[in-house]
Amino acid sequence: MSEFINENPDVIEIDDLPSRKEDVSRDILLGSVGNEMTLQRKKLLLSIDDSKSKVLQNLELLDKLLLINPPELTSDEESIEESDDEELNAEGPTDVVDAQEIYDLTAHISDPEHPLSLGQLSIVNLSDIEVHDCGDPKKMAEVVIRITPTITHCSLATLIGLGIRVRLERSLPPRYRITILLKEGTHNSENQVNKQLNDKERVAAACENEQLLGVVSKMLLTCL
Amino acid sequence: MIQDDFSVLEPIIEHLKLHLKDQTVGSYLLSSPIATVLVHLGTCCFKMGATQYKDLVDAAIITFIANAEVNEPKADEIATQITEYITNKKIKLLDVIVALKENLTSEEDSKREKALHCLSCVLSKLHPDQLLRNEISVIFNFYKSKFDDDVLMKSTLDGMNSLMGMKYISVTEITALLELLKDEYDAGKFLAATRFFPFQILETMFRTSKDKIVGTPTLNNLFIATFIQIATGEKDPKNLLISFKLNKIVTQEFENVEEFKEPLFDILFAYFPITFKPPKNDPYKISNSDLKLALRSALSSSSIFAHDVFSNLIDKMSASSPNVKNDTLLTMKACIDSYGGRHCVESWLPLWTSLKFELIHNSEGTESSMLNPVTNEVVNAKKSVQSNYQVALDVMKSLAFELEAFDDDEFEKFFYHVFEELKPNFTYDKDLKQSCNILASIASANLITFNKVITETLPLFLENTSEIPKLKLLLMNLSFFLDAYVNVFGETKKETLGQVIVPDNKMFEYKDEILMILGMGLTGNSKLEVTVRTLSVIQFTKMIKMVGYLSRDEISLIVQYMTETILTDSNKNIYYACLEGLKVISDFYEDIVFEISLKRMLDLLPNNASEFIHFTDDEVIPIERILKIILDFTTSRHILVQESIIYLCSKLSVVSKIGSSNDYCFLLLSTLYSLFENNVSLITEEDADFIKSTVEPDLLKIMITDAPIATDDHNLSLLSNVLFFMNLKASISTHQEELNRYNGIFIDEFQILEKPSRFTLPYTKILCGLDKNIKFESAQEVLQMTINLLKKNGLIQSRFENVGYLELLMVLSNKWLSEDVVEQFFDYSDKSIINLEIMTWLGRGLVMKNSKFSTKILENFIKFLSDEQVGPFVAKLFEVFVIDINSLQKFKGINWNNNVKLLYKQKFFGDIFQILVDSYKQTTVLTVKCNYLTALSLVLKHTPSTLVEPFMNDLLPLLLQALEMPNAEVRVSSLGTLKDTAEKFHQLVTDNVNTLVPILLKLVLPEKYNTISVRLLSLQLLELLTTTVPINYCEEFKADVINGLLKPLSDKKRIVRKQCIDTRQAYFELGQVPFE
Amino acid sequence: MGIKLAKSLKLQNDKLWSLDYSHGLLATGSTDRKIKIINVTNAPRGQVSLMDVLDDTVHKKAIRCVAWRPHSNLLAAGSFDSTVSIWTREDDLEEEEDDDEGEGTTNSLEMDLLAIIEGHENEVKGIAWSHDGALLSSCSRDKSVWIWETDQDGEEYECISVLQEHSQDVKHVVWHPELPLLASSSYDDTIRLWKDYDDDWECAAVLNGHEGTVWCSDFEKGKNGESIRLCSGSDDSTVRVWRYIDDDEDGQQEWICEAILPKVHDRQIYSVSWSTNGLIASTGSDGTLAVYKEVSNGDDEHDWEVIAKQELCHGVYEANIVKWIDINGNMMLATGGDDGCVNLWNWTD
Repeated sequence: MSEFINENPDVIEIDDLPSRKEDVSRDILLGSVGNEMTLQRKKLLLSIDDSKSKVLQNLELLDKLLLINPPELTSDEESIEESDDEELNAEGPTDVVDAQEIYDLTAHISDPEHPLSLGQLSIVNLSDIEVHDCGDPKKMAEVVIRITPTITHCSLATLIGLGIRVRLERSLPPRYRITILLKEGTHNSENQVNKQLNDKERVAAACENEQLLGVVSKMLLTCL
Repeated sequence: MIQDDFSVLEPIIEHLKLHLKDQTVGSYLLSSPIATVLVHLGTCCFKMGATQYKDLVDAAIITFIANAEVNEPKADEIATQITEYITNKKIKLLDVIVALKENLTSEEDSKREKALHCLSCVLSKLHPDQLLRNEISVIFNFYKSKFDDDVLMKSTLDGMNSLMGMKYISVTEITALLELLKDEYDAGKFLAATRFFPFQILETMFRTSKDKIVGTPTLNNLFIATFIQIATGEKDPKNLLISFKLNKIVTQEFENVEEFKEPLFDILFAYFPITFKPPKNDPYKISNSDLKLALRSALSSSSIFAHDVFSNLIDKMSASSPNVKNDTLLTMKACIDSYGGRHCVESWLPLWTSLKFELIHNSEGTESSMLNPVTNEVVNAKKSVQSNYQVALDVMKSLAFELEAFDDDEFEKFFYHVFEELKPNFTYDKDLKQSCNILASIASANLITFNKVITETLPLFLENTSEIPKLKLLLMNLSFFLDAYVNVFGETKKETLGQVIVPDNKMFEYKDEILMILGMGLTGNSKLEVTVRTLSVIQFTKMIKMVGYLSRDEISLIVQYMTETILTDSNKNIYYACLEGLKVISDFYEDIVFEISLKRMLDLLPNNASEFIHFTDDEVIPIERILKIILDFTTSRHILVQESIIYLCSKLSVVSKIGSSNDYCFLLLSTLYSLFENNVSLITEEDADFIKSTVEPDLLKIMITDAPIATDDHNLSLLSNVLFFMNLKASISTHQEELNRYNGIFIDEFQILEKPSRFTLPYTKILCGLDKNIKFESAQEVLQMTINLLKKNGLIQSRFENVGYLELLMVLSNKWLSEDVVEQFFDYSDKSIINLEIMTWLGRGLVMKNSKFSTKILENFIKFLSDEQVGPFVAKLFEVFVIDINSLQKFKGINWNNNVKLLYKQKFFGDIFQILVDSYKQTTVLTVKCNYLTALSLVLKHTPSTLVEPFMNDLLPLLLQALEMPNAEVRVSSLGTLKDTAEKFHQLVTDNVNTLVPILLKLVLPEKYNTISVRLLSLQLLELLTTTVPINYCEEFKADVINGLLKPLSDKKRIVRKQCIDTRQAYFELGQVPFE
Repeated sequence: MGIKLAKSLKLQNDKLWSLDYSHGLLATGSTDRKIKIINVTNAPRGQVSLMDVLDDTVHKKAIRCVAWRPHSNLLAAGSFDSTVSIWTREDDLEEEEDDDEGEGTTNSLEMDLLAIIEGHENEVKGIAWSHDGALLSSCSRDKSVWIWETDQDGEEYECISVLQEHSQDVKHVVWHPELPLLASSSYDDTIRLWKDYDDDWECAAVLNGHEGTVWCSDFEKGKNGESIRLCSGSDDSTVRVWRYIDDDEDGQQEWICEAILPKVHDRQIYSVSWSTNGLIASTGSDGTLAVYKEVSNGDDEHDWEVIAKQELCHGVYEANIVKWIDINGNMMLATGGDDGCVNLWNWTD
């Protein structure tokens, strides 16, 4: 197979892969007790300092102390309701599943033949991901992802595709239909590969093949 | 049998020895039962004098033989005893031989052996000058007579060895022995332990009679011949070690070695490359590397081997095993270094050829490793075993160095040969990295080689190119020669700054060109050329490290480049490369960095957040980036920190004038805060005093006048902390008057004790910073007034004010009031919210100093928990006792700011834990149970898990129940503790996993008390289980988890989804072996 | 007129691939390697009961297909592990049917492994019994269709033919309800018909037209051979109806694509079923369950109309199979989906 291997692909620095800038919000929300204002301030803070910042601790301390409110001794019920609403508000708006999220799920899968990720090799590209989702959990949604193999006769395109499918099927709610396609004109046997990758029955069978699973699980190691 | 009989007598003979030392020995003996025993032994003891000692010797010998091989230490003890008799002239060594006679001539091998062993032992213990000339020769001949008795060989040689160590040993014996060993001795017949002695003998001879031997040509040759004889075919590691050692001695100390050089070489190189795996319990503790090194130093010890060594080593280079190669290369280097250039003349060509092959075909180090802002050398240094590639380069360096040291022309020949072979690579961009590595390593040898290489090589690739790939290569290759410079002339050091005089060298001629190319590489390319830009920055940094290379102006230029880059480029690699660069530079030239970089950046800060920072016409820089950079690279840089603080303060007082600049003020204050926090120990009293006098007046002013600060909770609290740091570090001598001054300002002027004020917090923080030992007469009065103010119902509107006053209570009770005074302010009967808070904060002040009252206070608070009315609130208050308040933390080297005992949390936890647990178990009221749990888990949240460990077994069940309490924070803190637990107590968690997992699978679903944190932590904990709980347990609930995590996959929050995916993946992979 | 859910039965968490009905019993096959037998005699009244779960160690991989043998109580199951298993039930099935009222809940039944048929190189994807139960046909990813002959008690299986004309996986096989005619659907986008030319099974026709994998086909029923029609569902999200015209001189069958049913699905169609009273049902990846009826438009032309549509018939999950079942005269639809459920739908004209 070696002659299929693209010896020197163009590589993108990991840091240069498209990413969600405000992802630091993780740290913020974790310790989150405060209100919108504080959240906002914490975000600001993280733009100049890391999550271990003492200032951050200090903000949280202050919030904490401000929040130790005397309970409404009269009507407990209400006060609980209120605090509950606060909780909900604190969660802020729903983060919709977008192309970036799908990208983050797939870009870090490692290529079976290079010690590099699909993102770095531009096999997966943000611009080639579509998400169709009306947001209603009762309805189906669709993700279409077009991949670009490193070279037109890359025999591993199918394996890469399988890796992506397994990753997405494990990661997305059941209401998502996943379509994986080779980008037009990037592969000699585009149609065969596409048909294969989107044949539910073949994929299901592949997922019962220990050796294949092994390869896939190696590809997914780098995802966490 | 023998042995049995005699061992019975041991104790008796022991006795005997003692008594004989006694004066009245004789008479005593007559009446001694032991006498009879001795009669049995066939000796008569009532004769006094020497004979009596002979008997003793007999007895001793018997014991010795009884113990030999059975109990060597004991035998040895006896030998020592006998030796003493000899040394004290009580008996002669010959007497011992006589006494041994019977045994020595015995038919039984073991008897003979032990007997001679006994003699040799004694001999080995004798002082070198104990034996006289003739005694020696007698004994020598005695041993000689035994030489044909193989059984005795070991002891014979042992004895011979001791003899050779004697002072009066003569050439005759030496010669005789050497001949014996050379002709009569057949190493093949004996075990390693025996074979060891001949080597030892030679070593001893050399030690005692070096001059005699080397002085006499015949003896000299005989010695060498003998050595070769015994060393040939040796296999035992221990013997090889000494053999190599002797070989080195011979080649270095003996005459006429040339004649023997082949055999001498063979008994060395036959073993190369030596590999030996020490057996489990190897008594000699000989390691593979001991042998390697011994062999290496023997081979490299003398240049007579030069020809053979090099040709043979070159053959070994074809080996496939990297370890063999490594050994070969290192030996090569050792030889070159010790033989010197003269002996490399005939070998450098073949050497180079084999090295070239090695180097060109086995390059190492990728582009990415080059791109590491922390320079490569560091990385290499970390590796214990040097890579073959690196060693090969070192060999080149040694070769160059020695050849040059020997003769310039030879070096020139060598260099130009190498150079001409590599030159084409520059034209065809082939193996460039290796070629440059090679040339650079030649350059690293010394000034001359350096100049030669630089002059010839740099022109080959140092050209200003616009082609990115070419430029990339250029920059990487250049770096090797910059390293070479450092190798030859050294690295810039703070201590010796400007003192080191670097000899004029060719690198200087290219300085401008290099600077120009790097400058272009950095500025002349689109931001997309990350690699090129990063490389340029890294090379700039390298140049700074090249001692005495750059002038201040040039350094300033570089600083300017880096500053512009770090400000305008958002790429991480470049950012960190520049940061590293600026840090390095500021290590040596802080002033330059301040002038060119920091000042510049600070000046860029606008007065109004809405203004854009126009750096260049097209670049707009966010304020945040500047502040981030400042925080990142000023840390622990004295001037930079101080200047930044002062500048930012004055900037703040301008910004705060503009309404609605809250966020901008917040950023500035956060930066200030971090600057102080990160550099507490760096800032000296003088600095603090200076900073304080410069900025405090303004700060206090804007604190009250400017809305963005005065009315903004966060900003005001940050400012308060900045004031805290200033006072904390200000000279203690000033604290007293400062306190009075601040009381004037806050209490008299702002009247914070008359009417509620937001400025109580700054006042409180300032007090935190002041010395606890200064006088604060009005402390109690202040406390009283504060409490009154707090208790005046509904007077204090904002929670912020409230907190200010409560903290004030804590500081006063901790620092300036006696416990008993404070205690009077506790009124447990008053369950009003405010009084509870007051008692909590006063209480904390005491608890922190492990006051005698703290137990009582806590007991009362725990009682409150059972109160349906105030219980829930008190539960919350428990957090106040332990929550970390930064202005009350301990700073390194500062002990005057508060009375916080380091272990107070431990004590606190110990005090409350059991009571809480018990009360929890006793009560049946759910709400009350909840109160106990809430209190407990809120406390846990701020207690280091190490303190909790001892209580884990009682705690875990509670934690599990806490997970189902209708309170998000309780769940969060319980989950937090469970996570620590899972990491530390695998067994404990495993036992409870069947209870835990189902609960967690409930907590991952969005629901009233399952806040984001609850969901997230539950998922993290589930993931953690896959690594802490044995897989066979996990398999049991694998399916449930995978299925139970379907819903959370559509959580409204992305972070929850992400964690859910990771957790799920972890379970999918359970027991899955990644394909290799 | 319409579809109404009578009962939804969650059998496991993973894909339910296949189901088949006979004598009041529904058999299901799924990814978890389990075959389950459900009594559905009272399904119209929303009552069902699980009778037996077959030994799930027999197959090493997912069960892809199940099929009851006509006029007997034998069940065949095909698995991704490339084997076919034959199961039998000891007790007498008459009894089963006679006892009414709340049965099933009462007595359970026991099915035991009777035989394992090996032969295919890899995943078995479809199996079908000929109308007389004499022949069993199986198909696989190995591109072949095998025909096995068996005796009355179905313990011995002799392979009488291996048909390898398909160029890709064969996804599904189905026998004509009255004639020795077999249809196979394939990943190569075609349907092939096979018939017996004096003891030699050969390809009688190739139906081209679908623009994607053909997942399933089903013959029209109750025409006593006077007309032969077949409907098929495909990746191209169309359902087509094919009609047999005549044999040509060299015995090849001539077929035409008579109709493409009105578009309902927007994704792969995994299953079609032709009811005894002429209705076609289809379902697939989009989870929609559609029923089509043929209506005449004057001059003996016929059009197909969608007469009922049930979206998300397995929630947001894909539906893998649909079958018309007739429970003591009650027309019902049975569907199986990735949610691991069997859904039973009442059909009212």
